[in-house]
Amino acid sequence: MPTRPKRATGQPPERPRPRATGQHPDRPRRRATSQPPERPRPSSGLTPHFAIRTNWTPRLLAAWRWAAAAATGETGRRLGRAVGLTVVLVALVTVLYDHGEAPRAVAAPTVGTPAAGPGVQQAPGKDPGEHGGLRGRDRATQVGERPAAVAADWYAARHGVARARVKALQQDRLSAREVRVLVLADHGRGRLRTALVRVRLGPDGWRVR
Amino acid sequence: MSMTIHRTRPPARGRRAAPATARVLAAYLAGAFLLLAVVFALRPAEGPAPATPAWDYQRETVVLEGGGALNAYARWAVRTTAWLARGSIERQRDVHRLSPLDYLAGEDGAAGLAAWRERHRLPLEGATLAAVAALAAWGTLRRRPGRLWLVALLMVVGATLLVTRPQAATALAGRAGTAVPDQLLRAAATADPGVPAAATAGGAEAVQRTVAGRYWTAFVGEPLSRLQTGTTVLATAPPAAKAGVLGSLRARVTAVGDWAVGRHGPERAVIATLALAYAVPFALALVALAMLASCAQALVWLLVLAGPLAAPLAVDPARRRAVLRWWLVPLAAALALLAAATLAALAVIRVAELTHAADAYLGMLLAGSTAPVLAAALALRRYWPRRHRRRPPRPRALPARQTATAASSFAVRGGAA
Repeated sequence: MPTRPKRATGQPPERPRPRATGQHPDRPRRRATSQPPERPRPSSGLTPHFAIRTNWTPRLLAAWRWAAAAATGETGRRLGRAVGLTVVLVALVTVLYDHGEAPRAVAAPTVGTPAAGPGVQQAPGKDPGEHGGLRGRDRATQVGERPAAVAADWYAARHGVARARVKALQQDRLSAREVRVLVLADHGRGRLRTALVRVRLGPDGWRVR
Repeated sequence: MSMTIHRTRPPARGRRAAPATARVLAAYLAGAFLLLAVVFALRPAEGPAPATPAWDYQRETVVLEGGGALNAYARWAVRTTAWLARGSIERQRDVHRLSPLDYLAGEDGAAGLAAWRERHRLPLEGATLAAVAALAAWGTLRRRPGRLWLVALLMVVGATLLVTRPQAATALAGRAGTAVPDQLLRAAATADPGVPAAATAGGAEAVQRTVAGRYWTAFVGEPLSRLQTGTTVLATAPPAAKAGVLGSLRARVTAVGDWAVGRHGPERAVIATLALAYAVPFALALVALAMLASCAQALVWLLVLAGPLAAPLAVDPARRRAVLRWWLVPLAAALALLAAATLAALAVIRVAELTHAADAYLGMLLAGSTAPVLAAALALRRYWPRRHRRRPPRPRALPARQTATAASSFAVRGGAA
């Protein structure tokens, strides 16, 4: 068992050293450098210097440090990835749905003569705009009055083409109440498309089927 | 001395994959054939076929005057020949013109899907966004998510692409089935000296028109001209001008008039029968190849449409082999089959044409001289030494040496005991 070193006999007992500041040792110790931190005062209202006056800066700084540490940590990175990926995918899906295809009529490419067999070829008809001395202008029609105009209006609205760029080339009367109209649309940059539109006569006039 | 007998090495694993791929392709082709048959039977597309320019064979009018049973038979035979040739040409044209499944069901189905999506856009878009957000959160927030979330996410995006752009997707898939035969035909035509350069520059349709026109002239135009005039003078005349040329010939040449009014019934019957027999095998071969190409086109159409759903599976390494086996390799094999069927059809037409041309050339050389040629052939056969013509008899049983060869499939290793 270890023994304590004994003091030398005849030596006076050790006295406490005087303080460097010259204070009396019996007086309570006081901090020489700074005052004790004051408690935050209750807020008296929202002012521009609220954080300064209430001494919240350290707390805000700590919160900021905590947020920065969380953002640069593993969880933050994952959260950021999740948010970024979700935003990109949501934008992609929204764009796809916004620019989705509209249901279009069954279109057939126009060619010179049909391949239905011998003896069924028809003479190529002139453009409707060339008849009657119209010099390329469209025949004046009231919208909704004729099946050709109804079909052209429907096609222009459905495909987002200007109405002036859609022409009705030909129409076949399938029955007394149904007409099939061949429309030609100029989608720009040389893209000419044709479509067969069926128009039916109802109680409120001609309507696309 | 000891001998160790080992059996021959079992086939490697890589060799087993080949029949498996062939089996998968065969099963897919059978499925595509059944689907095509069902779609043909149900016929959802009731509209007319896409219009195409009329070629010469479509303007040809098969008219044969003359009464009597033999003339009637000759008329039936030559019309059947024309029907066969026309059908085989049109089946081949269809291969280059449209993808059958796309035409019969794809366009209407895509339009219907687009209309359905427009009607139910809100729930569809909401469900898609919720699924996408959930999958993204699952994949990025979990510690070890694996690749399944990414596969599911990409499949959702692919399905969205198909739902929002169905008509473009079906059109693209159909174009893949027609672009391969077109490009191959153009490439083959550049190497074929029989196809003029002008036709090659005009594209695949011009090449096909040239080749089909010659096939029609050889198997229908020439026999019909023989039946009408006794010669092949009308064979290469434009279809619209044939009636005028025939009328002019009848007015000037009495023999042509006899043929035109049907005074050569027996000859007509023989010529028409031989023409029909000549055309049948080639027409059947062309139709069979067109059917094979149509099945391959339907398979290509289906596999291309399945691409947005199948390709994301390749992200997962565990599923890459399955993607290769069930999607990518069958797609490549279907494209190769389509190309092979196109090339084979072109080869059949060229062989038919060349055979017929050689036949006609021989007939021109032998015209009026058949009797001496036949007599010479008979004499040659009579006096040619028989030992040159005899072949050794085929052995009825395997000789002993071949048995030893069969036994040599065992590897023999010898060594000192």
